[in-house]
Amino acid sequence: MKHRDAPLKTRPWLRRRHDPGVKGAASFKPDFEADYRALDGKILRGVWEWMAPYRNGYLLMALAGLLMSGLELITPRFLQQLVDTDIPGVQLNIFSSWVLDFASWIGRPVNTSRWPRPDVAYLNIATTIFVWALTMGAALLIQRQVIWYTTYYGQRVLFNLRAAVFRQLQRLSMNYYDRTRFGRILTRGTGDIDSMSNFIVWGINTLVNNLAMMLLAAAMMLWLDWRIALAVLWLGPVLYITNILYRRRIGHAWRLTREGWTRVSTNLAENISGMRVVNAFNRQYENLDVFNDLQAVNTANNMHAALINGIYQPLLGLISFLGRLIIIALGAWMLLRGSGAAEAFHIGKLIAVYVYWDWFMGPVINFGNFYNDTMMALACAERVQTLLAEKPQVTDVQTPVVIESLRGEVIFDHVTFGYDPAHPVIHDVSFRAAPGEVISLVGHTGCGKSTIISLICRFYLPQQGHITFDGIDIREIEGTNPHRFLGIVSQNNYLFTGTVMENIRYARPEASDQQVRTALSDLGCLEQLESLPDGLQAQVGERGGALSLGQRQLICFARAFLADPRILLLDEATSAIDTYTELVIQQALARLVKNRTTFIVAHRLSTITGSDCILVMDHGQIRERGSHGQLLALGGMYAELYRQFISP
Amino acid sequence: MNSESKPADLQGRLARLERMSNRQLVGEMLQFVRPVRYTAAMACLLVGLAVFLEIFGVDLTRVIINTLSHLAYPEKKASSPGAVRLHAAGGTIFNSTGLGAVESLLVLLAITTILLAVTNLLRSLANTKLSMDMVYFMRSQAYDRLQHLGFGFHDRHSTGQIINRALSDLHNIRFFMNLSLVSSAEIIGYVIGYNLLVAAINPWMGLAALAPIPFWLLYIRYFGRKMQPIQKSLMDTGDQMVSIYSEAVAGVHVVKAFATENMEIKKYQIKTDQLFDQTMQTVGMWAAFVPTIRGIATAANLLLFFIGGIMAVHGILFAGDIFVFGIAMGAVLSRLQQINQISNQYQTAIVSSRRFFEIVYAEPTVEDIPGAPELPPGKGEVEFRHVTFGYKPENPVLRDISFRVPAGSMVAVVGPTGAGKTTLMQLLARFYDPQHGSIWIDGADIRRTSLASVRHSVGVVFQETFLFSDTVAANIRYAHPDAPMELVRHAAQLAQADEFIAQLPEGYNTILGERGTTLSGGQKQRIAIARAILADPRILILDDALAAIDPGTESLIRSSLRELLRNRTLFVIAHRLSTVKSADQVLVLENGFVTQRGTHQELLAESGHYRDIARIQLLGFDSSLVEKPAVEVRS
Repeated sequence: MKHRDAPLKTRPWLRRRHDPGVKGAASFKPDFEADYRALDGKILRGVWEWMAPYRNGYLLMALAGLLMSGLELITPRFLQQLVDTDIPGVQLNIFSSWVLDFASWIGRPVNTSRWPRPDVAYLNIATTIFVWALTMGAALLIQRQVIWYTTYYGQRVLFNLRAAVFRQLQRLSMNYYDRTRFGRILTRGTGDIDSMSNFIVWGINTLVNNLAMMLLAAAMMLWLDWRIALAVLWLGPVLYITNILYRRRIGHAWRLTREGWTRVSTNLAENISGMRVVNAFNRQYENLDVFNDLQAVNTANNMHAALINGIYQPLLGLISFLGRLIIIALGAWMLLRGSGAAEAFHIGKLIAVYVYWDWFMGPVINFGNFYNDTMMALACAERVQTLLAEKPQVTDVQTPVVIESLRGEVIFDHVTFGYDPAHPVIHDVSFRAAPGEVISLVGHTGCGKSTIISLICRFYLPQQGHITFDGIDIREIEGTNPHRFLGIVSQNNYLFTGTVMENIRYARPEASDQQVRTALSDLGCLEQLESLPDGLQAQVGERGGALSLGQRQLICFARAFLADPRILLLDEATSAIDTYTELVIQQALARLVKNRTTFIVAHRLSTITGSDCILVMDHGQIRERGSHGQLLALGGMYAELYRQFISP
Repeated sequence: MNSESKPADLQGRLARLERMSNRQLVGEMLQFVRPVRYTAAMACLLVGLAVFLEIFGVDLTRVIINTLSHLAYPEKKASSPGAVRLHAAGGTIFNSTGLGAVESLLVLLAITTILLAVTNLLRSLANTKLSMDMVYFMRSQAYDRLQHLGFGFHDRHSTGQIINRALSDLHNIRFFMNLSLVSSAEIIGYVIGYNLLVAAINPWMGLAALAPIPFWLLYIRYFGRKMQPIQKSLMDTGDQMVSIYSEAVAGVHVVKAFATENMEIKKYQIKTDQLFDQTMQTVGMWAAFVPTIRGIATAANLLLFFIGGIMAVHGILFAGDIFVFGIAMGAVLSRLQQINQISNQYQTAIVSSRRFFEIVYAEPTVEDIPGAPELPPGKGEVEFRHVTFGYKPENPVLRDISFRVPAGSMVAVVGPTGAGKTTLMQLLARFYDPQHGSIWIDGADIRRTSLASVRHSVGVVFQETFLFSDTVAANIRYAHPDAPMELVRHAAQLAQADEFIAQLPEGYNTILGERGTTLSGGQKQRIAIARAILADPRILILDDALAAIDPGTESLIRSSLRELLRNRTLFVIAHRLSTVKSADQVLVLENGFVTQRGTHQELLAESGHYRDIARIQLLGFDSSLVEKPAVEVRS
């Protein structure tokens, strides 16, 4: 393995950042979803609507948080008192006076006039520390409640949202799934909601608390000494603006980083999925080079972000330091000049102002993070809101019909349909399937056979014309109602993680084990499935991955069969089954299609020669129709297809 | 045979991994630090410098305040020499500039702060460099391994699992190594530095400042232990919830077809409820954890202030010293909270590293002998000699298979599902090595030739088509990225793909895959065939690759293949008799044995599987002529 010990070839500073410029990598720009969204009242209102059911709780917790911050904000004052006990000629502080008042109230008055100075100081220190401890204890108890309840309300909102997204996805029609990438749909209910969690849980709290903290700290500084306060508070806006600039630049750098990272991970994921092809075509070394190039770009992007971060963070620190310097210098001047005066500026006050300055600066930096969080959450919120606002294409009419029993007549009356209405794939198709008839659809790939099956399933509604079941327009029928009478086996044999048994029972969860077995033996594939390592209890793996294509298709067959549908749809259902098994199924089909209307799409024309009616489709239109014999006699398209099929 | 010992060897290595204690695993993880050790040392050094400068700055502030207090209250006696220690130093440095004591200290503080800012900049760069280089090296190694492990490994692990290991498991390990290196240095630096500072002011205070540390550590440990199982079940439930969600999305056509939306909603709801309960359980613990940790810190802090206050009254300490206690406790506490993060990350990294090492230590399915010769030139003569193979050696899928195929002929492999047809072909491409027997191409044992030359000579079109999210042209020229456009077009024409590609929105530059145009199964298969044709192998294998293609197109492809394959050998796995009929030789595979061999005509003459399936398929046609279906579809 010649590359394993290859030296690291990262010279990130020499590489350009923006353009991967990697030969052989996908030559297109992957489309990324926006990470940030500017403040937008509409989106915010939407978020507030999600939170509204718990607004009282949120409000209460914001107030409790406010109380907590208020209590903690006294800390510098305690420190001030403590330090100032050290000043010559110190007086009893207010807590100490309370203690003495209390002592005289319970009948043990203390005469302080005879006390030496340390006694006064001791009492001052003890009372200060005691009250300080009480304050902090209360603050911590409140904090515990705030953490618990705020998270509780926030998580409630998030979980309600998760459920809403899932319900909405179940409600939406196939057209949504056709035009939306799987990964995107996945992100809506997982990553997007996770990214919002910090904002939804702590958003209000962070906003209220930091704002209050900043204002209170500024007020305290002004109250302690307005001259020093005015001398430094102007740095607040400067810091704020620097912070915003920094966010903007780092935001851009981070976006580049994420894009580069997406390229790395997409490349990795795709090559692992296609590992068999990679191996078969010997592309290992080229791929490693491409991968390492992408990685090098990723490294360069990260270094760029680190540089911005490395410049701005210390800069913020320096601005904050400038404030400290001003406080100390000004404080020193006042302290030394005013020493001896009665209302002097004491050392404790200097320390208190110094600490309040830190308290004032903290929220400014926090606001930067909060701003970031908010932008990110809003981008996610907007996407989730778009999903939730999506209208299902196939919706029920005002008073939908519910069919109790169906004979199984299906009529297409001048149906025209296109996934994109501008490009119809089915043009003016009309036919009638009498109850119990077998109708086959034949034609080249992409001629619209599968689309007709999807239309019968009511996955889509036609743009023109009508489709009726037993004379009732399917538009009039209640949403899930027709599916009670429909059974479909498609080319795309999807199984859910679980056992074979669970998958067969999917459409009829109440069916007993015995019923499943009977269905399987009626289909003639009981033996084949029971010969699996764990029989019917065998795990099918993620999407049926543990089974062969043929076995998967047998299970899909059994699943549709157990559902006992009135209308059976077989869309290329037997293409992956070997001839023997197909024979078994063909024979079972004889029993299966009895008294059911059946639609078959097949490439293997041998499957369909016995149909009542064969519809030959071409470019979305029905070219020929009739029985096998009639169509052969006609000598048209079908006869040609058939000739190609039987002769090599 | 050495190939028999291989699985045992593999298991031995993986078993060793299983036996490893957590500590040994961390030792194993250190190998990832080795290639970046200089950067790591640099990062730690810068951390040390930053910690030193920060603490020095705090000490300067302390001395400034002490000096101020000294100057402001001259009647107070100073009994501590520490208070004026740096005052003197500052004075000496700046005496020549004519500045006063406080002024010179302030200048010194400013210089320190600027130095700190510069150090922090360098530190941020070194840190990122360290983490990026480490991840670069690890990912590149994992990627290389994955590419060379071969099919065996990919059979055992699902794609999602492997991607997860190579991305998030790797990330977890890297994050832990980074954190434990740099953050540990930082934490140790802060704890020792601040304690030295406090101890230098007053040794007794230094001792008192150490008091809360054991409480913190014990509580963090206790909390971590209690949290871990809940955290794990929380992650599991989260995974299950996502899996229900993703299956409901991926299988939406099934959900819709059977109208089981409400069932899915209920399934999901049950999991989200469970996850909510577990989340609140952890929140309950956090809600207790944060105030408790802060409570311990506050108690210790207040104790220090109390003692400090009394000492100050006696002139042992000064205002600045008390101020430093507050700063020191706050700084140490915020770093110690990171221990919790490190221990969390440690737990994740242990789990992740076991999984990641399973990749790093996995034995490749097929070992390439170093310096093995290339496959000799030839036209694709193939011989199997007593080949026995099973994915698990105790369950052979192919048993004692021997046959010879002359160069330039077309061979059809037929047989029921699970008979071993695909396995047979994968052995030929050397995706696996047989346990017994040998496979020869043009007179060379493929196990003794270089793997790359075998893969170059054998082209495979897989049953399940995989195309990359790239342009049509890039997909077709996958084997030869530099192939000119004419060759690409020619290959596409032979595969009957040129026509539909031309109709795609951007022709050969159309991007395929999830992000691009989606093709039908038959169209994808045709592109895969074109890709194999362009690779220009001497042996071409079509593994049921014509199944999704309609009969008309299929017969066109077959005739163009025949044209192409004058000098090549073609293997076709197929169910359709029409495909099989034209083969020079038909192999019937049943239960891992070759039960019949011969031409179509020969096999029709003897009784067996082939005649059975031929009858089934042909009967349909014969009966149709008399208008009586072979399979009665109606009573």
